[in-house]
Amino acid sequence: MTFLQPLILFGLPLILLPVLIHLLNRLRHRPQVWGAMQFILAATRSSVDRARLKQFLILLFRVLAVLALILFLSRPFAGGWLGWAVSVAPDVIFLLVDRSASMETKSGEGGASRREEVLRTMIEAAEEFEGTSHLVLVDSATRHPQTLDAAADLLEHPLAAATDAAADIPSMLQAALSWLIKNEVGNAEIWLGSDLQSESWRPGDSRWETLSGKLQALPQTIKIRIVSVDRPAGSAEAQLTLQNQARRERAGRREAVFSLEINTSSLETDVIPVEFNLNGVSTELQVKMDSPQQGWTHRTDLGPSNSSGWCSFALPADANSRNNAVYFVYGEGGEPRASVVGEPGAVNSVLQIAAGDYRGEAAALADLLPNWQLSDLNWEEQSLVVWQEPLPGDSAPELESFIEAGGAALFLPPHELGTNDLAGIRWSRIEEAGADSLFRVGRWDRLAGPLSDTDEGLGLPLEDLLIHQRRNLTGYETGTGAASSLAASFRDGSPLLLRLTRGRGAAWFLTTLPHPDWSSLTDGDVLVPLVQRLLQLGTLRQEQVAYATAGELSPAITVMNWEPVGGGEKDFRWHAGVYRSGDHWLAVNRSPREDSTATVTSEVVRRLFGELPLAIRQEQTDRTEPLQGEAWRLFLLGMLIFLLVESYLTVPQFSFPKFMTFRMAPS
Amino acid sequence: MAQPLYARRDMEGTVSGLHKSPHRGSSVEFAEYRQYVHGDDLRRLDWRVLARTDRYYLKEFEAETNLRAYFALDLSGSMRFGSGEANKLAYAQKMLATLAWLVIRQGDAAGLLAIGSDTVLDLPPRRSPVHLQLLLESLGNLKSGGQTGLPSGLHELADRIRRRALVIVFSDCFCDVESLMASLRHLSYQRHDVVMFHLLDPQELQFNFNRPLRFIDLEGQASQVAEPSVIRDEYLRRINQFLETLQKGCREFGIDYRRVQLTDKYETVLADFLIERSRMVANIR
Repeated sequence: MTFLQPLILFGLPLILLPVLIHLLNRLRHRPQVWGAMQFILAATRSSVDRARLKQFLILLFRVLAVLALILFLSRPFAGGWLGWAVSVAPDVIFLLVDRSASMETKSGEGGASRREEVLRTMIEAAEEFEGTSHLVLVDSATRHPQTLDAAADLLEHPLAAATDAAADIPSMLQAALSWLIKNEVGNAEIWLGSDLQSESWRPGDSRWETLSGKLQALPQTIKIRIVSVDRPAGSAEAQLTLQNQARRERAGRREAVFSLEINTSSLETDVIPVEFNLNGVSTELQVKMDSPQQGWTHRTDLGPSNSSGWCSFALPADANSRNNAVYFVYGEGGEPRASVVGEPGAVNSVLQIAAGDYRGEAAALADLLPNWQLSDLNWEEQSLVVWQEPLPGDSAPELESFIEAGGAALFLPPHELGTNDLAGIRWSRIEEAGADSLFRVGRWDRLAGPLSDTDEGLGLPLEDLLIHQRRNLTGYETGTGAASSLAASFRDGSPLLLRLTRGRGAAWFLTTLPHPDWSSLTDGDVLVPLVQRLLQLGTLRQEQVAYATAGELSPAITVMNWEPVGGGEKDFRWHAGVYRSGDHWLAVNRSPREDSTATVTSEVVRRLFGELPLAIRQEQTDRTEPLQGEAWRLFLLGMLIFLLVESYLTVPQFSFPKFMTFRMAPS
Repeated sequence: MAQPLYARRDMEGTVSGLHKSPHRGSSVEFAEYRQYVHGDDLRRLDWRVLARTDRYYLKEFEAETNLRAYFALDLSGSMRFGSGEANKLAYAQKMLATLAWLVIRQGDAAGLLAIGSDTVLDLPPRRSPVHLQLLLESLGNLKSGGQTGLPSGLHELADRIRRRALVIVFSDCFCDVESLMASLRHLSYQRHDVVMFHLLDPQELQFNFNRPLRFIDLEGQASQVAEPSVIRDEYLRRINQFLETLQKGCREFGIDYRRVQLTDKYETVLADFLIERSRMVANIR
């Protein structure tokens, strides 16, 4: 037998409580003078054996009731017949929905997509458990567990809608596992709706072994059910992929060369029309298909060298329209460049490393220059300025212009307080934490910004930061409409990282330093991603165009406000298309992983889940298997029975009142 | 006019009174001499006058006589128990004083026998108000304690009083029931009218305790730790058995047994007792 709350078992000595109370009760008897002593003595002599037995039984049932209560609270799990006897509906059902592009393949014209069929199957099955089980949705795009009120909500749920992002099944399972551990629920079932696409399942990923091991090691029963729709598409399906692109400058004009490829499931026609759209102007290209896999090159004039815009290629609608288009944007580019403003020292050495350029084989540290050499700085080339000096105020108007033009500036606590402020925000006194109560990070923005989770869904370890000192900020105001917002805050609500929006750019205030006397930021696991993401953000100032894969956008891109070109309600994070933010262009394409047609077999799926109970499609897990089930109900029932018996033994015996005595009538 | 106290049996008094004498048509008290008339009962001739004067005279007596009441009060330690405002001794003292006043007021004689482990006080019956004063003062000064000597005290009383009398016992009877019954039987055989006021505290009959107690004997040094909830059934069974034995024995020997709980109003108890006696005597006459 295993326990979900094993620490409560330390309370087992409490079962002696009834015995102790009984003994103490005997000790606290009070004197009572008595006349009819002869009857007391006689009754005591006569009752002693029977009384001892009764007393023993009462104590036994009290002890058993306390024992059952402790076992009930420790959430036991039992296998074998006991587990079978207590096995009930799961406490939680996870609905893991693969909403990747490949799930949009339809069975026929006007038919339902694989995703919609999976959702319907899940809803039908989950409705039987409404009222007894909690439903938790984990979608493949956000991978953030969401509780559902009703199974029927799933079909229209925004987090179950189609996307162009790839699915990462191990990450989805990881999200479910984390939720299970955090919420300490009982039995759980994981229903995974998928097309078994190999690129989504990633069977060679080393995380599988850890995941299946951790799921098996959980004290509660975890059952896996795969809801799979892997039947072939009802009509011919074609995919369009961009193999390569090149740009050439010639006589002040820019020319683009695109290498594209069409893959069809069946060669039904000789020519496929491809729609080419350049900045909203469509032309039709005729691609002659000599084989199911046909590549071709397309050249186009993009206009003057300093122009910007977009273009797209699209195939006619077929069984899956999600893999029919590719998007391209063009404009001026830029290079990431960071400078640290401050005096040489341990802090700024760390900052130079964190803000370095690591694109090439040889890493390049960020420049370090003191405040008085600020005039030497080439502001046009800068992407990020790390400022570890008192706030400049009016003495550095270039810095403010730099930020308003879209640059990123990171301000760190100066050694000298200074008297200047930035838009009313100014540094305040240094606050030191007590020896036993370090400053701990309470909340941070995990969805967007420089502290957001990684692509794998892993959060930055801000909770582990040990912060001994911080320099507080004053004059900031957060909330709707305010220029400043908290990107991360301490448990007491004061800011760790504050964002101040200025023009197209932003100034960021970090209230502690990467120095052992201040914090454990020197470890780098938070500082490096933070600074590098700000560097990317600042680089966008110079770079007019950006490419991204749906679902895999860098945090620097996500902090910008992107609007789809041509309108619509597409979300740049999950949907392929062209987006615009001011002068910037963003081309989001579907994940190339989604073009793969390879799938994993049932045997592979079983191997990935190891010993976990698994049912694929209509397969049912046999209830007679020696699964572990949560047994708390049994102990709760036992406790009630023990208390009832104890009550029966302790209450005075029932007897009929005298007036109810029955007599036989004389015959 | 107070309700008089009547005896159920014939009394042998010294003066005329309310109570029936065993001597038919006469009392011990001399009334007059009357010359013999033919037909008179020859057994009523005064032979001493005949021998002295050689004349036949009949000696006339009063038809009824007075009553001598002996109040026997148990002074054992257990009479000190009372769960309410009064204990059993105080309750008995009030009843006894009332009855003694009534007895003397109606011209009968009242005596007091206080019985502890030995006889503590013995006031022979008298009729005078002065005696009542003495009896009440003595009664008020009595203290209870020690073992009960009620059976031996009653035996002694039975041996001592030769004329028929009314014996009223006040006790909780917490002693050997066989010995007690023997002493009561002794009194009954002497043709005394015996009344037993059996005084009990409600707690002794109900035994409603809800926590462990150390019971300390009021008549000795013994003590016993007990869990009332455990021994309650057996205690009640035994005390009910004791009461049944006592009541049955009293009924068998014609003893007027009256169980009194300290929660009963003593005026009511006495009124019931006196009225019942009046009706009983009226029926006999």
